[in-house]
Amino acid sequence: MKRNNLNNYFITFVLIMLFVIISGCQKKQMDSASKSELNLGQKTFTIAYVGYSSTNPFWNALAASARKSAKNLSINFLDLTASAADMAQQKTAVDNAIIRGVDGLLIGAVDSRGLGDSFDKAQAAGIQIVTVDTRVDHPAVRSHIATDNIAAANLAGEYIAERLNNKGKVLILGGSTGSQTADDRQKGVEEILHRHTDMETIFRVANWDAKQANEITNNVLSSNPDLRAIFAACDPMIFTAMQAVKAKGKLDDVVLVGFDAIPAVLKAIKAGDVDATVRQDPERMGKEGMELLVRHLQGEKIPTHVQISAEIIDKTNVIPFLTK
Amino acid sequence: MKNFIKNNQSFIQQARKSLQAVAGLALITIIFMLLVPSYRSVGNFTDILAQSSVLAIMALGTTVVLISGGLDLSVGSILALCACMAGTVLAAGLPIWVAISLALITGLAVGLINGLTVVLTGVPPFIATMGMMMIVRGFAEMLGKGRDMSYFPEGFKILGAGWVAPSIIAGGALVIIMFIMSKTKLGFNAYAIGGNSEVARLSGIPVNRNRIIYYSIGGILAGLAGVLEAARLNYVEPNYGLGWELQAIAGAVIGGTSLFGGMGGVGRTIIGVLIIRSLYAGLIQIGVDSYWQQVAIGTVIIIAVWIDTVQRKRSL
Repeated sequence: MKRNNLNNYFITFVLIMLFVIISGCQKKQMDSASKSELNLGQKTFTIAYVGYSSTNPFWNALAASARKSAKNLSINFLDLTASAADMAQQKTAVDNAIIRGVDGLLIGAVDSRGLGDSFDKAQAAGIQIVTVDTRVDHPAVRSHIATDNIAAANLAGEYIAERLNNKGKVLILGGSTGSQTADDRQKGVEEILHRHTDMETIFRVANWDAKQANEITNNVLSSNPDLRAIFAACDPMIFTAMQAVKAKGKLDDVVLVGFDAIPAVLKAIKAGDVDATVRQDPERMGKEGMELLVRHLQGEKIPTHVQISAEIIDKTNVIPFLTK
Repeated sequence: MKNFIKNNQSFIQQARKSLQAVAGLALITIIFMLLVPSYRSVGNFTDILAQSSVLAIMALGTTVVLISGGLDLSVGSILALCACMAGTVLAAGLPIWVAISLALITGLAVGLINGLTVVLTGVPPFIATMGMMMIVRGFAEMLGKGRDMSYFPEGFKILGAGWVAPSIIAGGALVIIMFIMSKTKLGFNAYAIGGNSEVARLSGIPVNRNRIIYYSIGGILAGLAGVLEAARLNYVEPNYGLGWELQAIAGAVIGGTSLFGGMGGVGRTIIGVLIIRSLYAGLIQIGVDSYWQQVAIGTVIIIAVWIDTVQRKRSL
């Protein structure tokens, strides 16, 4: 008799718990459903963002902007960016996103060549992809939004050519091989400088590494004392290159142009140590990259390519960009 | 007992090793001087001194740890963490001595943790310090991420100015470590522990305590290297020192330190470091790309260890 009662109580208890749990879940679903109905008219999308790295100021600005845009559009935003610019880590992050199941992928590739396999898997899973900054050639990529690195580097090349009166030797410190971004920036500067017969370029791979840039600059200056300008494919490199030039007392003789407009270099431009840098618009890239992806997920037609223009920052216009 | 005596090299053997290292450096220098006009200036050699200073300091610590039979793969990351520490403190406007002290203390602390981990857990140093390498790199990135660490105060920059200041700092570190290794019990015992730790323990040497000290020395030297790098470049980013633990080991090995412990000398390590940096400098000046530089360094390491192995076999 007693046993039956206990059983009854127990069963009742379990049933009540189940009811509570299930209704709780339903409530959540209803909440998110009604929320989306307010904003999108359909389900909440999940978008994974895999940037180049999380320790790079340019990419941090881009990520912050993408996150903000996702919040405004009520997107479930997953930031899976690795802390180092490592192709293997990035591929792992992308593969994990695919396994987890996402609707879209916003990706800033570390290397243009390493993601073919992962993109195949994404395509098979119906995941939509938008690439940012570095182009990846793959049919699953719906759109690419980037600074036109070649056009931006053209600006740098033109700046140097003008400052040097179309004459002189220029050192180009390159990024890592295999990076489309690095290739484009090199190409952009070289195609301008090579138009002038009195200009000569020396190209050295510096792997986006500040320390390597310093050492290379030091030694190239030793063997080429007539060097008149240096272009670095990213700002940390131009900063340490500047240190090398400064150490040799040649700051007045060498024009220094970087890329990315990081705070340290903006300070350097104001101080007159570095001559110019190229400023991209990571905020716009993050925001518009997210918007492109969402519009596509909603069934709209989107352009396959969006170019964001860059600008040269030098002493004449640096002040508004300086942060305190 | 026999092992113990054999590994403690005779004076002649040590002298020969030193001569070999110097000869190697001289050979490379002469070759480059012949090939590249810009290599022939005094400025070039002072440049190489300046460029070698940071690695030299780190390699001193690596040598001490290697001699004692240990291995520390985390020193590159320690350099980065300490550089970021100094950079962060300076960016916050705090005094220079605070920045330097905190950076050095950080290096010491990480070295201490390395030593304790190896001694207390029994995890092989390779694995333990490899794990620390990743952990410390993570902390360095957390600390330095997105932070503008540049344009340090004059009083700080002067430490890295030109070639004189870095050479003095590196030279000072060299003298101190040389003193420790050749004139103190702590130093002698490193060779004993590295040669045969069991015999060392039986002879009454506090093996575990000493090991912790050696790793701590390695840590604080890596921290000093980080401070110097920040002063030299006037700029810090979290990916400094990537791969440097291997370059430091290479410098030690080329200078005749054995990876198995018990043998080596910090003075020769400096020569090894100069060999590596001279190679880099010369190859860049010739116009060779960075990939060939790596090929060259790797080849030199293999040749150096090969020569050492052959000689050791012969002396058996």
